[in-house]
Amino acid sequence: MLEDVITAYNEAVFDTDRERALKVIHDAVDRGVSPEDVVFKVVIPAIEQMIKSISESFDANLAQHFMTSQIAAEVTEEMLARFRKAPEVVGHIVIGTAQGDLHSLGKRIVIGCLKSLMIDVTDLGVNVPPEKFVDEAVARNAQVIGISAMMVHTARGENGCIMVRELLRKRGLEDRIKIIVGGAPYRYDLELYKTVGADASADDGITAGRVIAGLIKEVRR
Amino acid sequence: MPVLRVNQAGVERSISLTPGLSLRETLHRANVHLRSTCGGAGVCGRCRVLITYGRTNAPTARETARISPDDLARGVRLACQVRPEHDIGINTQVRPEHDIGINTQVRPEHDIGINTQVRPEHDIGITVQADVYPSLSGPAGHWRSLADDEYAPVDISPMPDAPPYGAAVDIGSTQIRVSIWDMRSGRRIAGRIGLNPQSYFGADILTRLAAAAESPDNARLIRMAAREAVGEALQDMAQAHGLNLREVGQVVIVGNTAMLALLSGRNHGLLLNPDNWERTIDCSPDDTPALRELWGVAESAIIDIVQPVAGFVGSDLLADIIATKLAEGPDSALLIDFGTNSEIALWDGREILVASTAGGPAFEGGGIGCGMPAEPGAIFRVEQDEASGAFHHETIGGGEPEGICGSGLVDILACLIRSGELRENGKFLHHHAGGRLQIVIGRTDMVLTTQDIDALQRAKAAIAAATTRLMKLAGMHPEKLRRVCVCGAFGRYLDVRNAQFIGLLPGIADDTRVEHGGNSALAGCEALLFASDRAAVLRSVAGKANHYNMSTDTDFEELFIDSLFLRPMRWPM
Repeated sequence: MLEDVITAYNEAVFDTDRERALKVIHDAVDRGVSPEDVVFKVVIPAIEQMIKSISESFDANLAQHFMTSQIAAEVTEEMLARFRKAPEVVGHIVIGTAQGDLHSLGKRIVIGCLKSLMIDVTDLGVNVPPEKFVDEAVARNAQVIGISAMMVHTARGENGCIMVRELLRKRGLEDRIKIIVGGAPYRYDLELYKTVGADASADDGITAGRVIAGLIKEVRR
Repeated sequence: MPVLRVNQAGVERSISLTPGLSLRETLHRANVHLRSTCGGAGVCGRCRVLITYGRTNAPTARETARISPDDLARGVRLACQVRPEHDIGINTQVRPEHDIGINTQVRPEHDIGINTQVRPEHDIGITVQADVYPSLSGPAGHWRSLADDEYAPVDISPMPDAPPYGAAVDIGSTQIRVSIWDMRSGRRIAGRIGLNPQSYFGADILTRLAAAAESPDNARLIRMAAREAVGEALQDMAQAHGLNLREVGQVVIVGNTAMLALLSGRNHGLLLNPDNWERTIDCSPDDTPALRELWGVAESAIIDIVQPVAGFVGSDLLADIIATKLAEGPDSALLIDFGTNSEIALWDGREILVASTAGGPAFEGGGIGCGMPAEPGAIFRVEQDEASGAFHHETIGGGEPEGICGSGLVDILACLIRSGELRENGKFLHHHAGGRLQIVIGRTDMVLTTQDIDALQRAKAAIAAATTRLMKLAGMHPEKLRRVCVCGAFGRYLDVRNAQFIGLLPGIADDTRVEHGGNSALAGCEALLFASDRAAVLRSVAGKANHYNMSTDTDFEELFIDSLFLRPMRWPM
């Protein structure tokens, strides 16, 4: 039965047909498929497949990326609420776009992926001042700060990652809180994340999930 | 010193190579402007060239991210990433031996043509595909006269006591339009349209603003590029019509906020901070005498940069509203000025809701491999014969097609979706074939890639989402609209049914008037030139206008994703 669900869901996602994808999932749950299986065996493999095809293709279509991630996030949210026991959370991240940057769609995709990978996410929104990143991370006991920047000047800017690093250093928090960055400028310049003082960067939500899990482990060690 | 040989449209010339400069910069200095939307950051992947022989620096990480391994092996490079140290030769025009007509065959090969004019005596030769602005390769000497039917109607009364001449200027992100008037007789003497040379620093306004923020030197270059372009257009008209520019007593300028701030050289840095996106930015120049001198107008000339509304919504939208008389009657009306920074105004009988949305330059042909602005040589209309599936196209000016402008691209999208070759989500049916749809028309090789479709989807979604959001804010159903005004060069040729079919325009009642405004921002600027009390006219419009900031609107974001689908707008969304 699960095989049929996976096929039907993948087909709906391929067509970016939100209604059909949701119907496939609802029907599956009605027929006894567990919400856990929906997330781990249907949704996550589908996202991984999508990201694989995007990273292998030079004709990647960002529009489709947005549409499919939206579906995945929606299904995951719904299923998480139905998990039999509260899912075991890997760790906590506060995430937002750098000061001066209002591009929220990339962050949105990543949040959807992270949630499905059982990482607790606090969304700080867009245009987040560096102090807020640090204050919120401390207040919420987050192990990781995620900073999204879609423009070169916000990715490199002094009030973005550079200042967050500076604040962590000044407050002696560098062992407790790690920084991950993401966004187009970091994809085109693979060394940029180091230049601005981040611990890591990731090209997509799934990779981000893995990298963040690694950072959390590092902090907890 | 190594030499770059450029063959452009069969004319060859040599340019000295300055070591350290990229091929793109070298070409730019020689007035060969490769299309790009990122300002040479190696991000947009548009300035592709093919190196046919010789050697240069190895491909950078940005190139490997943008060019497939096969293409790299063939010598395809990004001109902004190549820094030649040795002699090279290039050809900017490719003439593949193809029949005229649109071929919808999906072609798995690559979109690089073959140069038949390889010059073996040089070390390196590269072939530039169609990614050179074919007819608008400004900045210098590439001003085209506006044809009579390109002007939007404008009501003016002669001003017998004014200085002899006046000029109206509309500075768009992609194109600049300028007209000169005989103020005393109320007659338009001439008009010009040309490429905004600032495009070199980035097609979209944020890239351009960021470039200006990089250094005072850059800001000056960007400021002077637009100022000089306006000066050239004025000079060109003065020479053609025997005018003495010293008798120009008034210059009125409209544009979006970013263009006006960059022109004045003031406060453009503020626009990079979203905290300022709801306020009004002061774009008045503090060096008016320098402007007068540069343009050669009267020493006492009034140079009036009409101030923007708020955020990125500029005075070009005010000019549109004035020219279309949008807010003068009880009829509810929607106005969209399509551009790189699209501006939208919705009149509900009480207030004018205004917004801007940065959908990118796709509908002006920017960032699309086979795209070009709505200029002579552009395919502006495409129809598909239902029975045979054959495509028919019309070209502006009737000549050989050089590219496809926004309205042609809308037609193609609509045709492909109707025929089932393209899905609503932007996927080609034949996805196995490398995602390229070859559209061979005439001498240039035209290919529509999935990336092009992607850019069009996102541009369309931005405009559709902002339009829908304003309609919702006004609580208005699209069928209640009495008028729809589509402005901008793109709007002039737009097939409304096709635009509705892909969801670029809302579905409207059958008897709703659709008005193709064309260059209505210029017309509004001309009306302002002749207004006896300009401030009062502007106050009466701006006073009714309320700006809605889409960039912080969460509903906009939801609508944007929903609008990525190429299908009619759904209502309620």
